[in-house]
Amino acid sequence: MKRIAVVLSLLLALSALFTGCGSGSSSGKASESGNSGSTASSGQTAGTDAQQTDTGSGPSGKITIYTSMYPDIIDVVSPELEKAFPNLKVEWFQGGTEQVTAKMAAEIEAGKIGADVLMVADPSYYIYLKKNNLLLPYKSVNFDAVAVDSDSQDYTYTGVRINNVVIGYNTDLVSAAEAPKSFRELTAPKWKDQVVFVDPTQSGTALVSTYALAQKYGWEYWEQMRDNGAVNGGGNSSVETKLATGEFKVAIILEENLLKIKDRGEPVEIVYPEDGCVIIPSPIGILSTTQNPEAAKAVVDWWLSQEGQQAITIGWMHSVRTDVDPPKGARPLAEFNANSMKVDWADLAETSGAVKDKFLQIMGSN
Amino acid sequence: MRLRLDAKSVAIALAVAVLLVFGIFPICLLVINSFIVDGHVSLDNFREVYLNRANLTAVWNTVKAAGLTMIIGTVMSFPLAWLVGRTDLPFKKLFRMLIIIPYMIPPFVGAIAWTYLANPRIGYLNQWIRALVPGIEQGPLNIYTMGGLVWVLVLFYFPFSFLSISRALEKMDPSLEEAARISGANPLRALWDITLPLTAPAIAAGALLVFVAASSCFGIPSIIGTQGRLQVVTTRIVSYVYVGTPDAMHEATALAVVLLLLSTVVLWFSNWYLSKREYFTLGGKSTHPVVVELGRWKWPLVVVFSIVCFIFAILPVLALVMTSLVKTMGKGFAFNNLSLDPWRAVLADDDTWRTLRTSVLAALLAATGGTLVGLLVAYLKVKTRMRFRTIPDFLTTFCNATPGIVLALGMILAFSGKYGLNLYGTFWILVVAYFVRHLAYAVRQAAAALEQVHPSLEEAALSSGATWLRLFKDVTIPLIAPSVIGSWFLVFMPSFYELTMSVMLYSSKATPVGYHLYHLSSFASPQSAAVLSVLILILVLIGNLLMYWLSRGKVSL
Repeated sequence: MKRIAVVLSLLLALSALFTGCGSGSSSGKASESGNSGSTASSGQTAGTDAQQTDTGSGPSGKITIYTSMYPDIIDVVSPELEKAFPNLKVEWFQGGTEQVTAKMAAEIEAGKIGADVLMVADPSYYIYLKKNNLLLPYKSVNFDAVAVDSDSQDYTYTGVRINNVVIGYNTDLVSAAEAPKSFRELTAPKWKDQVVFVDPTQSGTALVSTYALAQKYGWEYWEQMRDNGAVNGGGNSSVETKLATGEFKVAIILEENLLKIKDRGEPVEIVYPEDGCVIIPSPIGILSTTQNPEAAKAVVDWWLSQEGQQAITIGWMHSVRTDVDPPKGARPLAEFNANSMKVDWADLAETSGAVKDKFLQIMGSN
Repeated sequence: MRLRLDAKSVAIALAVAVLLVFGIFPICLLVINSFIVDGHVSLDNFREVYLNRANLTAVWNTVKAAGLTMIIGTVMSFPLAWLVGRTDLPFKKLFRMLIIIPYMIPPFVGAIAWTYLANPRIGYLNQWIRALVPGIEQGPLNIYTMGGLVWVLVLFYFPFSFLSISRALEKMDPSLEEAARISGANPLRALWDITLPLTAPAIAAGALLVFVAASSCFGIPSIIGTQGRLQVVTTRIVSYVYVGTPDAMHEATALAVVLLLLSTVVLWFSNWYLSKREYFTLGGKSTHPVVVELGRWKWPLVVVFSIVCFIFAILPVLALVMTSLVKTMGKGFAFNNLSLDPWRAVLADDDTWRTLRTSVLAALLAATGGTLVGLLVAYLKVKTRMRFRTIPDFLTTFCNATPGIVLALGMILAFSGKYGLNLYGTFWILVVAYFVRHLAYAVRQAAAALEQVHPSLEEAALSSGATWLRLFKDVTIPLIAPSVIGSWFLVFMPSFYELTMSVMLYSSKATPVGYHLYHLSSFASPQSAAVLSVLILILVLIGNLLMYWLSRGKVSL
């Protein structure tokens, strides 16, 4: 008994130690302190269309945003949102698209949806939500500035950022001349055992690109990829590492991941494939169960404003507006948008489970 | 007499009630859901799930991987535990500590470390081997295979078996071995005929834990299996869950039932195997196990043990440390490519300390609750003759065998306020989730220890007029104290770095370190994730050392 007491008191002391370590600065989460300061400055420029909507003191209370966007964007955006809406407390839940949707599914079943605003990657999920009457129709003041697929009938969701699936190669192992030109080419013997791709069961954007390629070339494309030794490398970050370390010469991956690690000095380069990038206009939408619709609407307006869109490009994604510059190091969207692969979002919404199954079935048999 | 009985029943009833409310209720909600298709009771989900060939392959892979892990882990644990527990092997305390380091590394991180070490193209180990043996272009090691999967599972889960066996060895009455030796048996014969059978309950308990942990593990197969094209049940369940519709969630639950059946079979088998045997090796007399002299085997065994420790403990940590120090992953580990920036960034980040604090506190509460409830559940099973006494024990295994992500979804369903308890979105949901998921570890440890306590000691206390509470506090618990502390740590450790459930259940008010780790590895960079893992490991090691020192060597994991 005495020993247990010693152990317990020791651990209490240990946790007190942590308390000491951490309490140097504030421990509030919503304020998202830390390293955000350095990057925030670039997002502060003009673009105040959002403020047009809020008269007087602006929205107040609290809203929660569920998102699959990377945390660096949240770090950039939090202080901006705080500035734009001083009376509003914005809380975030961040996870992969698939994690967020799984959490949502459980919450829907429990009858208690925690999110007011949803910003996940896969547009087909919004079609699913709309069908179940879970989205609040709202036409943003900035709706007309948005140049990508949105719900232009009922305004239940609007494209807010562009994810773009491209080909990346390791510049230490592959010269620019040798680099693959198209997705089609990756099934050629030249790239045997050299291609890694993102798992569509772990990433919403990879699900879209898997589907788009299967629509364009038939499921034979993935069978040929398998026979050519292409490998499922897990999530985006894991695939990014496998490409950077040279474990694989070529990857099918999000442009934003490549831009980010290239900026850090990793030996990678981007190919905008000739047979079309897979462009995913990831939406923003308000849940119909929100307790604070006014604040949610104001936040949607802000995201679609120039200011909000600049934050998107700092996070290495393309803006949905034509009057915002592309992310650093990327080609402008206009250059490859027209040639991009067509995706039938309504069909994907119906068949996403079957797509994953089919894919696993192909990849599961060696 | 009346009062005594009451205190005991009340304590046990409370423990079981806690288990039912926090563990079984959420899972039952999910399971009931799995029978519902479009609002009607139906078996369609099961038909759908179990007619799918990919799922059947996954079930077979799970049985194979977890079975092999259990066998290899147990076979390996016994000699290692015996060497550190019963022989005059030099440095045995150091070895004992090193060999269970994998248990302190989050499996998710450990699996990543092993992919750095043994991926066929650029794994550190393969590069070293190729430098030594010219003429090999690729490999020779390939972590992305069934062998690789089992290897990593063994490394991370054999400590269950090792700890269980070494604790039993420490507590065993040596007079039996002495008797065998005096009667002319050589040490090996005594080991085979006496020690091995006497430690059988601990071996079986450890093996069961290894099997259940390996079959319900998601982190390791998700990293090694996807690239190796090996699907196991947990990865299939998670891909169902990630479809994101209620239907898919029902299918996920239907598939989760198979894990439950698997662990039930193993549990039933180990109970059946042990049912005919009754061991009471822990008497009231003071015991000092005889130390077997290794003689000329001493130093060769030190060499073997050092190599084992190096591979188990040092190599993965080394891979993490190397990764945490490189500037860009592309240039690999070279002197002109080293940087302390990730270390600086992680250490200066408030989130690091805030999440560590949350996790320590949550794990502390979960471990304390788990030890207490686990002890009572084990006591009920082992020391009473009540009807259905083994059911709560089985239920804890049930909770443990449920994949973390499924359990987390059940928690959301059950504790969102619909049924009176509103824990979702608070710190307490983490505590409850960790507690429920890891309770089985505490029960197994306590049960194995209680099985060795002879009833004569309790009878003596009772006939001297002690109340049951007094008896429990002054006799039972002190007798099995090392196991109690072992239980506490077995719950604390995985709760501290838990990742799968944390990612689903965290809220802005309570963010555990597992989420921070996920966040760093999925977004920031492999380097900062490696920094945080090394940091977690250092903290755990310091805690362990401090405890060892404070208790004068009596208590450590």
